[in-house]
Amino acid sequence: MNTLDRFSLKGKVAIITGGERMYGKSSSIALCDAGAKLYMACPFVDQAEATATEIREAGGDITVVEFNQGNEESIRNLVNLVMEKEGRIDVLVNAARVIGKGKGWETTMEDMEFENKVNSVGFIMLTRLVGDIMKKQGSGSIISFASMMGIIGVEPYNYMESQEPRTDCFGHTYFFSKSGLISFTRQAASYYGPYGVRVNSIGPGGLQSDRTAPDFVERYNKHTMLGRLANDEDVKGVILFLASDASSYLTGTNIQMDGGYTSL
Amino acid sequence: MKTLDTFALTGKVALLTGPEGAYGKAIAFALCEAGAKLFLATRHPAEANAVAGELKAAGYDASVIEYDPTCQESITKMRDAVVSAAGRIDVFVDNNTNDFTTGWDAPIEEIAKVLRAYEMGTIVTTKLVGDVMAQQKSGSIIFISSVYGYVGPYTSAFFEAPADMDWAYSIDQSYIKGAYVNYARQVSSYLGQFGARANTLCPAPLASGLSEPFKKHFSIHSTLRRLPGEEDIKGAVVFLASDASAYIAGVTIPVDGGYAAK
Repeated sequence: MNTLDRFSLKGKVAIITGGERMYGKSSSIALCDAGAKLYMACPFVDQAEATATEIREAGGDITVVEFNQGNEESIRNLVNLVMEKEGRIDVLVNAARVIGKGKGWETTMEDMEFENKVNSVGFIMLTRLVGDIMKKQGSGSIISFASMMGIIGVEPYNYMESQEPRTDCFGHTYFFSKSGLISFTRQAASYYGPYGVRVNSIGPGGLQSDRTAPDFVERYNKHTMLGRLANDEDVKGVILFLASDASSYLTGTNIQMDGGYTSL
Repeated sequence: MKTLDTFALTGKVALLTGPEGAYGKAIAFALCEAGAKLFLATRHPAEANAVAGELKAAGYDASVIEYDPTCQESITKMRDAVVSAAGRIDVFVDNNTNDFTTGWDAPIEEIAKVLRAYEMGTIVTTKLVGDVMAQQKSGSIIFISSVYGYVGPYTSAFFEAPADMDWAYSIDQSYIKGAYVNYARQVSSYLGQFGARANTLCPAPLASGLSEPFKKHFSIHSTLRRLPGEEDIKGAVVFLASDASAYIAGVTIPVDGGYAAK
């Protein structure tokens, strides 16, 4: 088979959580234009439908499913629905995450519990349910969005308007859950590996369309090798690489997609 | 543009050193299948010509350039030959490091020879090819390291296969393969200023040529319970060589079946 054909997802069934905006939206577009039949699970149905409409107009096969990752029943319903309709799941992309009330280092325990329930507990639960189905199939690829904040701490200088110490860019659970996600990825890869199921994560850097404050962009860019934030196209290639048979021997790994930020 | 099209190397010029080594043929085919015009730089022309012959028979554009990676003048001539024939170098895959010393007791002269050929050869080639990429303001460099570039050999794998210790415990192998990991970061940091990138691939040893006991032990320790085949590296090479990985710089990607994940 020609190597280029190995990146295709033609005939494959995929689920993406949080696929309606930012990196999730780019991933949804990539999965669909490589031929996957995509289920986009998302709590914000209106926004998801808007993204789905764009993708359908470009010829993609996409279905929106209302989904709350903080609720076990909702997680089970999503998996059951896809299995009833398709009878298999080839690709799972975990892109959903919530941020609570955003008090940084001063985040309340209540907010931490809310974030943790969705970003950690719900993420593990969904990954296990889908992983168990893939285990029975004897194949599948699970990709989770970590972050460069899963392997390094924040650079307060990027956010500084003055030299005053900051507290708001030091959210606890985000760093805790992204780092845990990278470690859980190795654990899940080890568990499912003998059954031909691969589990990997992507560690993206900041997204240009999400961070437009000129001071931030200027400081951030200096901290990357390529001198820029990520654009909406950048994540598409690594999603297809990991989702497809092109990465047949990759599992339990985290690929940093950050323009070299964490390698400096 | 469809995402699948971003993996294509159509119209791009690729240079592969060490095409005669492990994975060399797979890498060469991957680059050609994705559409690149390929130059195979080698000091083993007979083996490289055999690879080029297979590529040509499949309808691909491949030529062999003989060079000596221990000699700066020869490396420069090789680089210049590619540029004068094709006008540019978009992709450079360094697969130059293949023959290490044997075992833990290699004499210092042997170690020095290997370091000069592989480490110095790689650095000088990277510098000279990187200069071309900096000038054209684009390019992707891929260093082929090894699983032994970031973990040590799993000792118990050799209990039943002592002969394999000769290569696994080659005293310079991990030194050289490990050096790639951070060297790619430094190269990428420098070339990033000019829009070019460098990354490292760390594949597990190819099944062919390994003893049965070693294969058994490696498979057990690999998360996917198998050794890699030549096909397993092809996707990773095309991904890193192409614009599909435009924002990936300075990273190490293991192609190890999850060997180092547990």
